[in-house]
Amino acid sequence: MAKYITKRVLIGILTLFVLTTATFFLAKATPGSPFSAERYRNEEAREKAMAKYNLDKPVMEQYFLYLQGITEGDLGESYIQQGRTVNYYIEEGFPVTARLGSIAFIIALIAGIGIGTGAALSKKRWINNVCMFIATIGVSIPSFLIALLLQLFIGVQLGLLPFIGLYGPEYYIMPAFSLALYPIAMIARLTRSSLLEVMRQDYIVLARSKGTPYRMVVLRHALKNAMLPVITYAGPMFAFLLTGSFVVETIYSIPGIGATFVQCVVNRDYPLIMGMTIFLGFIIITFNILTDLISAAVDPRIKLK
Amino acid sequence: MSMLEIKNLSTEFSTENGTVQAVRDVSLHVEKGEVLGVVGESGSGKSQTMFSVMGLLAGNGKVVEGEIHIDGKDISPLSFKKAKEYDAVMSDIRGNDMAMIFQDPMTFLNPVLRIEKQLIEPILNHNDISKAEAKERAIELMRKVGIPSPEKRIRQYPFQFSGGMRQRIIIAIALACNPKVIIADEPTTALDVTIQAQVLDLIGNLKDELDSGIIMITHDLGVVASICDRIAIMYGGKIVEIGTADEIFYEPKHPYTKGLLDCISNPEDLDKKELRPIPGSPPDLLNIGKGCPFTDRCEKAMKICKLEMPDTKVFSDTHSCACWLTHPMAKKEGN
Amino acid sequence: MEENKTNEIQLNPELFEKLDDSEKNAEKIAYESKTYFADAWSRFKQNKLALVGLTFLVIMILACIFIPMISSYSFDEGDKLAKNLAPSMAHFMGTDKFGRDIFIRILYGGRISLSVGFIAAFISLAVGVVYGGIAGYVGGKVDMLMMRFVDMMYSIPDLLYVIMILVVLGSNLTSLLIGISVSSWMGMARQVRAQIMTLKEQEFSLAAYVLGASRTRILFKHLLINSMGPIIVSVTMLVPSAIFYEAVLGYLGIGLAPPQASWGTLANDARRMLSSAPLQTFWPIIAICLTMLALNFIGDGLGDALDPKKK
Repeated sequence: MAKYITKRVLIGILTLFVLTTATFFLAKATPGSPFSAERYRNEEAREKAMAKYNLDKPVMEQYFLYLQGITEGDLGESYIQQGRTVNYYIEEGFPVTARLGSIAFIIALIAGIGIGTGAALSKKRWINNVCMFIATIGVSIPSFLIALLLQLFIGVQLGLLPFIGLYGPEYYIMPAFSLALYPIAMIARLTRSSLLEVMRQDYIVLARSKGTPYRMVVLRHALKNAMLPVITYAGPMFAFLLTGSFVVETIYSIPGIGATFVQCVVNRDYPLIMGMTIFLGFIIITFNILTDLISAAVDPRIKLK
Repeated sequence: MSMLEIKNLSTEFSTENGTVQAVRDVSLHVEKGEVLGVVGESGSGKSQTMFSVMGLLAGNGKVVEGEIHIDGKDISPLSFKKAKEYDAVMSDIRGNDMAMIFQDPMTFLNPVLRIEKQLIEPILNHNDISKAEAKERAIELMRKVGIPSPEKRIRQYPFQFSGGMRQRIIIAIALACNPKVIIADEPTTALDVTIQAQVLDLIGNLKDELDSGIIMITHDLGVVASICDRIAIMYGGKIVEIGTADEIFYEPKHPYTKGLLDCISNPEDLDKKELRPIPGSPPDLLNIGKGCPFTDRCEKAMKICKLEMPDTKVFSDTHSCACWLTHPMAKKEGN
Repeated sequence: MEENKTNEIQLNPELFEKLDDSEKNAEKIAYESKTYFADAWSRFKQNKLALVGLTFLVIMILACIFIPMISSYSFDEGDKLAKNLAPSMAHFMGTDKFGRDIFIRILYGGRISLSVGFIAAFISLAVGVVYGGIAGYVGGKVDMLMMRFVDMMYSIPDLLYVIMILVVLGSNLTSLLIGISVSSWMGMARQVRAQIMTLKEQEFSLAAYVLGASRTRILFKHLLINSMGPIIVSVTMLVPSAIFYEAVLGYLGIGLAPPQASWGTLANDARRMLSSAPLQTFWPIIAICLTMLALNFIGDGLGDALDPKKK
């Protein structure tokens, strides 16, 4: 077990290293510089600025200085908002995004498993059909369209809910739902198909032959097994929700890291782009490892070497 | 009184291609301390008869006719107005009065639950005792079915057991509440030959120890020969012949029974008797005709066989057979 | 039992004559069997939603190709006297802030969005099949290294690649296609590899080898043809996801540069008019929604139809 975790963590670090290297050299390869001569009338100021970002040094040296910074937890400083560090943006934006993402995640888990179980077990055909229709709609319509449609109708046309910013509980409703819809649909589909599959298994027949009531058969024997694919999906999904949706945050003007990332891409603010990419990669890799560990805890057959 | 009595049971499955009559008018009974063998090819309806009795049919299956009594108690699905009432009664019966041993030990145990949880479940379902007591009983059961160091192994998961050991666990689960009727659905089919013999021995010993009625479903006459008191032969969803083991082996009446006996290899007279396979394959129970289902494969088939199902003719208190060849009008030379 | 039944027909000795073998049908088959694709098509046809999706998609594609050819409106030149008009007979979906007909712009946008969707899906397919095929067939260390790389790519959010590539290569159609393909070939590669791994173990692959088929022939003929079903389904699912990426990037303003228009950029353009003319935002959104819905329905239908186990 310990060996497995160590191995996973090492691979995670390697992935982050590759990601860092790739983003660094991609950014270096991009034509145009924010410190071009046209933007600085004063040559001295330009050189000073370049020196501040180590841009006067050879590329390889810049690279090693950057790596060194990362190992110390320093992701660099913005080109545009000089004086503001990347860490500052993350500290500002991440809590907002994480709160919204966690709410969306909880909604998605409860609604998704509920709808999926209902669709799989209900004897009434129409319940099954309604559940699956919701799930198909949810998978087909991307979050940003839902966000826009909600904003358009409930926010602008009907004026029922506020649609700009996050200033109180009611502000969370539309963005959280927009974010949750796709995961709800995916979890509902996964839960339904895997529950149907599990209910067909021989061990369910054996459980029923013991005189265990149907409800207990589902709870004790089926749900745990049926949750395995859901866990595999839900872990990385949570990571994506935590790292923020670029569009939903932009649409609802939410000051999270998703919207910040879009801003820095539009502004070509390379240190921010690089720093954010590495931070988001870090979160996602961490959650992938956690997901594997949880799956292993639930399913004893997954051998951890 | 019989431990289990089945009267005129018929079960149907609705499928995309039509209605499958899996069990057609089957009557059986098992007495206390008796082993009844039910023999037939795959698809003959033998397992579905037992699933009907247990109330474990797949969602598209339904008992359409017949009565089932266990120890005098009526458990026919048709006697209950609501599915809920039937389920409630069956929850008390299953695992308690009646238990089932299943075919494939690799798939019938829940892979993500410890043996402990799976083994104490029937005990807790039907007895008002604590978990600790149930666990003690579970360990006792494991010892009874021959699993070494049960205290340690009860904490393990199914994948840590071999096929034969898993089948022992399944048998232990079935025995948990000393059921009146044990239905063993091809308990040895999925096992290696050497393990098969061990498991059969185990069931044979249990027969002497317990007072239950045992139904042994198999497609292998050789398996039933050693432990069954009576044998029922099923074909095309029907019982075509039933009798004591001696009657079936020494005075078979139905051509299908004779055919099955010809398929057994006997090392003692290999040169005397050649193995004779039965030509063709079992009938499709979808759109089955009115006549005898065996007609198409029967060497001695007559015109009447295709038109009408024969009556059951009684030869002794225990022996009866449904075949037109036993009719007085049938020509003797063929019989 | 059936005691009364025999009374229905008159028993006579003739009925007890031997039945001729020709009257027996020992191997009768209760229902006809069909070929794989005929069977799949008949199951696909039963899925109403999938048929509706297919019809919608075909109409949408034809409309995007032909209507702009015959229409009198241009997609980039507006009528200065007809700005922000509501839908009417002349302008089916109204006009935008430059007086351009929105319907025509939606169809032009559809050309771009649909092309991006299909081309990106096929690039991902090609890359994924080759990569996964090689990894799965060669196996061993090569496979391990190749799949580690896929794992690595997987653990980075898709949109990050696309955005990085757009930043580096500039906002144009080519970099958009490269970006989307780079971010979506991994799933296909994993799937193909897994298929190949399972199929490699099966008897027919060994049989082909014993019969003297060469390794590459086995790889491409037997193995890939046998993995067709799940691969087709994945491709159908890749198209809507590529359309989605394009729309997201367009909407964020980092996709295509104007005057080129896609559904995403049209939504972005209309965004500033949200409170005064909300319909302008609604049209591109609904176009994307319906197209993705149609593709997903088709994908689901194909998934059920091509999997023989799901009868």
